[in-house]
Amino acid sequence: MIDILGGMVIGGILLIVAISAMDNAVEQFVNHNADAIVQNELTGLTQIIQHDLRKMGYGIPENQQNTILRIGQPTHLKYLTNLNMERDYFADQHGNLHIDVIPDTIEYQIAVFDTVNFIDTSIVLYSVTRTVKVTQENPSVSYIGTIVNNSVFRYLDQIGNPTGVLPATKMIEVTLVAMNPNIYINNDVLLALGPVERMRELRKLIRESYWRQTRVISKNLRR
Amino acid sequence: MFGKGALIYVIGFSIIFSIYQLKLNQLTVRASDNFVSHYMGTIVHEEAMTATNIGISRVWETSTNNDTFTIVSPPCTSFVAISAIGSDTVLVRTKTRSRIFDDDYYSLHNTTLELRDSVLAYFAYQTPVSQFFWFTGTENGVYWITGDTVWGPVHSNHILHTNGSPVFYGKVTAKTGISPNPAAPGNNAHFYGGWEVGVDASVPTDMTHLIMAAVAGNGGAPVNTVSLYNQTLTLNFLSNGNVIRTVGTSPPDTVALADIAPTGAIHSVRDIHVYGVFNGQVTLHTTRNIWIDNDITYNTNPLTDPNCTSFLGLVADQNVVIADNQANNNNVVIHANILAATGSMTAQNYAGRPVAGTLTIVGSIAQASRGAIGTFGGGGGITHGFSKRYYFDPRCQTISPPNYPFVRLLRLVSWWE
Repeated sequence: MIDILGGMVIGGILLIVAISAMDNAVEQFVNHNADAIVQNELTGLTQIIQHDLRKMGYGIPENQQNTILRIGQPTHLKYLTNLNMERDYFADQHGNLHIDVIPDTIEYQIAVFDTVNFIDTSIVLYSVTRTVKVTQENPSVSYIGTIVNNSVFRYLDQIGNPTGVLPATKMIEVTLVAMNPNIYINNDVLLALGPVERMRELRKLIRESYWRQTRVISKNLRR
Repeated sequence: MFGKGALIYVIGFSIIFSIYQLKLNQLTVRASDNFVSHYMGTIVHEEAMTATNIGISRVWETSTNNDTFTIVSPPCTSFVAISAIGSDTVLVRTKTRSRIFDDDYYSLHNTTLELRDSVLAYFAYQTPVSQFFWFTGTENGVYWITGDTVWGPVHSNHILHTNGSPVFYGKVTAKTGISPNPAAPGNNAHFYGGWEVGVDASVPTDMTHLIMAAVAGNGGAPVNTVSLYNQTLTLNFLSNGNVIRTVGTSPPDTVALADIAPTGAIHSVRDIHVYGVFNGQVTLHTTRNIWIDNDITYNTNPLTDPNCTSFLGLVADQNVVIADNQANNNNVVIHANILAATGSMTAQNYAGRPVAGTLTIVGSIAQASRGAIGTFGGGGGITHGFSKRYYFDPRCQTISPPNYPFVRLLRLVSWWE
């Protein structure tokens, strides 16, 4: 009898410790998992953007070089490229049918997607939409990811100074900040005294995945 | 003393925490795999770029247009193929591969995942010198200054000076430098088309193909009757495509431009004088000087009429000179692509002639040594000769006068990565 009671007391203590540890573990696990998901999504997003930017201006005649960049805003990028000059851009879907030398366009737009509220503070999420218009094909519009910064594209001249003149743009600085707001909220967040402190506590949990690349947006702009 | 119950709790929670630890490890591995995959993708891409640059270097140094080679640079292997596309274009094609271990892929295919990347680069050698709005062997110390606005490409095979804030919308290249350094804060010039130094491209002096075109056009006709001349030639162009031609001291005759330049080329070993309203496509070449005796304009202005089909090339081995005469002393308009292979485009007696208004040129200007067209006083006003208004003929970006000389310069046509 004493043996059983002693075991239950010790076991009870262990159980309380274990539940507490489990609670922390689950919190850590969920937040780590959120980090991993964000990182994974951001990697995919950057791969798509890199893949597209590298093709900027391809096949565009030199006399149209100054027109390659059609729209250059922090939230909106549109440019010319030739995606089906040698091979159908959608050949994997329907075969090598549509080949021409007519310039095509790729467009990125950043727009407000959602607002996630945490009591008295909030996080705004922005969607990244990619539109590919290839001649002889229907426009392909796809949502490729969610980020938390809306100033994504910065336009730089040859020596890296910001420029507002489209023909002078030789580089684009792309900045993507992603975070997953679906986290396991702890008491520090819930008991924070105000929005500023609450956001500070939130940012401890929502670790950002951050990606910035300054790149020559295609050598075709520097011919 | 603590009994079996405690033991069961301890063992139970040990199992639970072990499972949790495993899951956490999997997360870490997943994040690590993700990073490695992205990193390797970047490595493969950079390797492809490097291999392409090696291929381009080979094209640059050996002028090859048919070559293949493999670069093994662990963990990547690149295959580079250099091939000719047409007579003037070279394609450098690179494919780079590497392999990584990807957990998911391995479980499905029982092998490692292959990463691939490719780069295509098209280059061409020959550029009509008319594609440069401004091309000089040396600028003779003349500065581009505030108020100068240039719409086409500019090249100097020496040093190019700027002062103040001239605006260049085309690319600016120079062999020995741009002063002051465009990257330095002291340079206020606007290079909207970009700039590059170290570009070595001389004013073309080999006119063989132009002369051969004139010879071919002349056929078996006597000299001074069709495309070949050895006496001073004066051409007064008419808007209907004819030209009043004066050869030496002979009386003038009126002929169709197409009849005396069937291949688009006229060659002379004496001076050529030109003026009038030009309608046609021809390049005039002389081993001496070309004199512009009065306005010479196209039948329609290419700045306002993109369908203008007229194209005139004025190619002198020595100088292209705006004559100091009555007709040229009150503004001069020239629609032409001008090339002074060893000399200058200049105004005759530029430092002594009266103030002559504005010299307007629509086309392109290439000269071995930048020539003067006037002088200005301390206040900046013109004291002799012309002030200038130069416009790049936008058609020159893609087409040029027939048989117009080329600059041999390896240039990028298109890049895919």
